Amino acid sequence: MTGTGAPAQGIVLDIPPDFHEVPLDLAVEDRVAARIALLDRLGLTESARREGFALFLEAVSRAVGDGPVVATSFCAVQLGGRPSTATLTVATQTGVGTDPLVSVYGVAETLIRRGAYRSVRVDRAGPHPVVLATSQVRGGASAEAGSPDLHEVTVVVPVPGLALLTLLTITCTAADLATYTDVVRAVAASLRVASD
Amino acid sequence: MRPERFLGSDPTPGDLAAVDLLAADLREVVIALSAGRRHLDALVGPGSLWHGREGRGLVEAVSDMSRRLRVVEDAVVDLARPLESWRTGLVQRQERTASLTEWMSQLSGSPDADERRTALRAETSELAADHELDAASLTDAAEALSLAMTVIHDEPDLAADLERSLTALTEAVEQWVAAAAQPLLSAVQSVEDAADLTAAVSVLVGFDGEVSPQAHAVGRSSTGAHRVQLALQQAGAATALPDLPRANFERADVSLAQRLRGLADDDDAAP
Repeated sequence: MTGTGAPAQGIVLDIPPDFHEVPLDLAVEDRVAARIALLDRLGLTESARREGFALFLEAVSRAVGDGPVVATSFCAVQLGGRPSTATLTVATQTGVGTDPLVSVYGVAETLIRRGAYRSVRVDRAGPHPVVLATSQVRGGASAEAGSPDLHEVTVVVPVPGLALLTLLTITCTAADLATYTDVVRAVAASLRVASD
Repeated sequence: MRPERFLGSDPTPGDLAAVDLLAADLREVVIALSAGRRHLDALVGPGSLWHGREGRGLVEAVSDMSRRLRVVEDAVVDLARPLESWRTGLVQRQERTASLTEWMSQLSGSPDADERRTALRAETSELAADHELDAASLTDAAEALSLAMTVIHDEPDLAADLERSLTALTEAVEQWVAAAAQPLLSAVQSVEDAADLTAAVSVLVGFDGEVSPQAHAVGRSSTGAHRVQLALQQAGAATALPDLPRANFERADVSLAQRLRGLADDDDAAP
């Protein structure tokens, strides 16, 4: 840890390259460069659309700001022969203590008491004990006509050896829920602490 | 032919059907004990959730329960083996008894067969002694099982250990919730808000979907708000999607990993 003489540590997650990060870099020039690269990668060529898209990305980066969100990303792919999109958002939050058992049950209890989830369960993702919570954030009876429902899967991983939690949330439609649940679990499973 | 009539008594009493039934029951008990023990071992073994300081008591209690099940399992196996041996001997001895009975019956009314009768009686006595000796071995094994159960019964109260450990864990979880629930829920809310805005990005790219009121609000407050609003209004399925690559969630990207590096530097390290 910094300032203790121990080597600095960081969290490592393997994010599939299908996901495009919304540029959240603090430096304006970095954000602009990342935005241009993203627009090019997506193949958006029409100028008005590029401009509106770029301005919205900038607004998102400002809205997300200095909070616990480390990265937010989306994918735009073909899945099973049809278009598919999902968002993957990562945040970190200081926990209490380093006992993974207490942490996962503390997180699970907190999410259960929140009462916003269809299911909350303690599970495993690779070597990590995790809490996996699912909910439907949009759709069902209140859905706008023709608008697809939107589901959310949140995985909370206690970072091994640190009083820190990593939150991973994926949103997608019901049709792709199983696939993206596997994706977010795989990302959670890849979490590791690395020394620089 | 009843041996008592010709041999004076049955030298090899034993109910073979009852022995088979008991052996089958013991096999089932061993299978059940073994399955239960493996389940407990998996619960607290490598890769299980039950690790860390607060889980130690539970792990120890469950491990102890597994150990006790192993002791009972071994004792039952130690009974099953002599029972099987007893069964094999019983069959042989009862066949021998049948033969002796048959031979003795053939000597009935023969005044000159005393010597032969004496020999058969001696053989019958020898057979009875073997039978009792084998029965004693079986009784010893049964007593060993009984002793194992007594020893386990006299060990510290497992239920109390489990209850103490669970109570301690529950208290630790409650303390965790009291200290960390609010910041965690705030972080969850931030993640959901960011995901909601990012979902609007997908709509802007051309995917069918609903732009949330929050995303519209962010758009209204942005630089060039009218152009963002126009883009949001025109977005969605009506917009031509760019050429989409096929999903490939297999390969990993380290860009985010690199950005995450150093985030933990200011947090508490494990002692």
